[in-house]
Amino acid sequence: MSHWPFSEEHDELRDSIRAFVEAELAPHAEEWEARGSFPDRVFSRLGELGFLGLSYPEEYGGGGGDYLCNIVLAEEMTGSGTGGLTMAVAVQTDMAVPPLFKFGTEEQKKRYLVPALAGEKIFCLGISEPDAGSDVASIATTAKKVDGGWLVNGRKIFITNGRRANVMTLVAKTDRDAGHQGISLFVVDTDTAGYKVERTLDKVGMHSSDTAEISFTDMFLPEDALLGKEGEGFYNISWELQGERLIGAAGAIAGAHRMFDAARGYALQRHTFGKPIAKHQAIRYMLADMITEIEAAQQLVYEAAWKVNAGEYPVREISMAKLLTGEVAWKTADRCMQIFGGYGYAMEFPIQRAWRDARLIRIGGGTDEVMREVIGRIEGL
Amino acid sequence: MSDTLLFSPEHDELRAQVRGFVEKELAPYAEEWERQGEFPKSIFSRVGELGLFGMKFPEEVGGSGPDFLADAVITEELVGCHSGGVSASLGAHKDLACLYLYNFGTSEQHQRWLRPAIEGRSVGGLAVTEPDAGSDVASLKCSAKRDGDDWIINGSKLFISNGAWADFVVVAAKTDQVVEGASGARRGDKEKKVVEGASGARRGDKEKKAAGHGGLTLFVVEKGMPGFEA
Repeated sequence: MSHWPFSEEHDELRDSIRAFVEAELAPHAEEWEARGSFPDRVFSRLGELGFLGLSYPEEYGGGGGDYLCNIVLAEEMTGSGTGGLTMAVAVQTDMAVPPLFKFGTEEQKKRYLVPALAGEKIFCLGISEPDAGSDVASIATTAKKVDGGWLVNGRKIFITNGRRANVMTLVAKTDRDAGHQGISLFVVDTDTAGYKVERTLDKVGMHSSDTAEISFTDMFLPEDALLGKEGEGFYNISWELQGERLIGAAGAIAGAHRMFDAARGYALQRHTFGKPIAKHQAIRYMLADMITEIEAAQQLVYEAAWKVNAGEYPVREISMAKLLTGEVAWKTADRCMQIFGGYGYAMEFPIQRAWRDARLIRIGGGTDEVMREVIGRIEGL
Repeated sequence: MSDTLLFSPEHDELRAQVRGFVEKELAPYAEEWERQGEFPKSIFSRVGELGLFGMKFPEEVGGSGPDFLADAVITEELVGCHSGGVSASLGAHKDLACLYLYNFGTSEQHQRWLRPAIEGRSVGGLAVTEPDAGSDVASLKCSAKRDGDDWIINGSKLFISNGAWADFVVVAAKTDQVVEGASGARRGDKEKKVVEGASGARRGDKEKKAAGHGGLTLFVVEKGMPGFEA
């Protein structure tokens, strides 16, 4: 029987993604981590297999599936053993591209959505700036109306896929004095004059993912680069952030589950004081706490995903899922490293990578503190 | 005036002196050393020259103490170098290798190994942990067998700070595989004490009575000795 909220079709999809991940991604994890990047070919291969467009309509090359298919993908991608790759793909499937589908014109969809789902164009999302992130209203990148289009100036930072992207979904200020109504979205070809990748950021974890700082200097965008209505960018990107957070939560908890499995296996095999450490109460209880918290957080992810799938917009549950999974994943990573002991701290076991990768979840896509802010507000506090 | 009850004006002066050294000679290089994955071994001789390794040891072994609070001041201030690896490495030398040598060594061993270590002319490490045993010290596999007046040591050690460049390592090894037989392969009373502290807890009563310890003994092993591989 399928695990709620999934059907047998989802299970079949899970099997086929898992087989692909095990055969074509996981064996290269070490190499891609060391290199700080994975080949672009991974995107086209994922596109070829239909994994980038699972929940999009068939007319754009999608699979016509439901939202839960995306959750299955996010969960199974964690089997690659490299969080950076999982994140890079999620940026394509669930962050940078959804606004195109939701707010794009038919022409924009043909031009950008179709190659995005095929993995022919790689996307990045330009929200964060040196001085603004979740505080989207404070962004300083401006798009000034000029004859025939827009002139963009500014800077974006922590941009996943930033170095390799062909297209950026950009958030910019179109009216400095209009507050939340002064923000708009654009779709930008990264070969546009004035678009410049300034540098690649070195990070604690997520090493296979390229993260860049990007600048725009008098970058001219034609009229039809505007995505959605002028002045609605704040609300549209707030919508996007919900999908971003939920897919992040799904990946986080699936990753935590894998860490648990690895630590459990090690605890049964490693002996101290004459018995496996799993048989010492301290370790056994640690593992029991871990799996309990993981499964509880997992249910919250599924609850939120199930609501999204039913057409709801469950900001409250998504924020809770993002907050809880980030904290549980980090706590799990820390306790798993504890179980692996000295080997866990040495760079020889994969747990150190999972530990480094897991730390991002409490920061990326909106910090724990931003999640608490959102939840607090919804609760009338 | 000192800002805590513990420390004297002399401690405050020492703190200022160590802080000056750390800020000038260590902290500016932290980024570079972190990137390289090591720092110059000459730092040990510099720290030794300043007398910072010798605070808790008496003058007869080359120290200036014992003053454990002064030693604490140094440990606190070394953290200011912003590289946990550097302070851990200096600490492994001062607080592990030197301390074991002082506590359990003969006066001959003090003069031969401890004095140069305190003066920063040699670098030491402590080797207890193995691939399959750590805090579970009684499970160590590294063995030391009598060979006339010598000992032959076989085994491997893991996670040894300063292990790659140490000039000497204090090694814990099993001198008696059959615990009941514990036939005195020890090196004096002081070492016996370590041995008991290091192993006792998890042994059954009968074994404890018979052996008193897991047959473990400490040795000083010098780099350059045949068979020593870092």
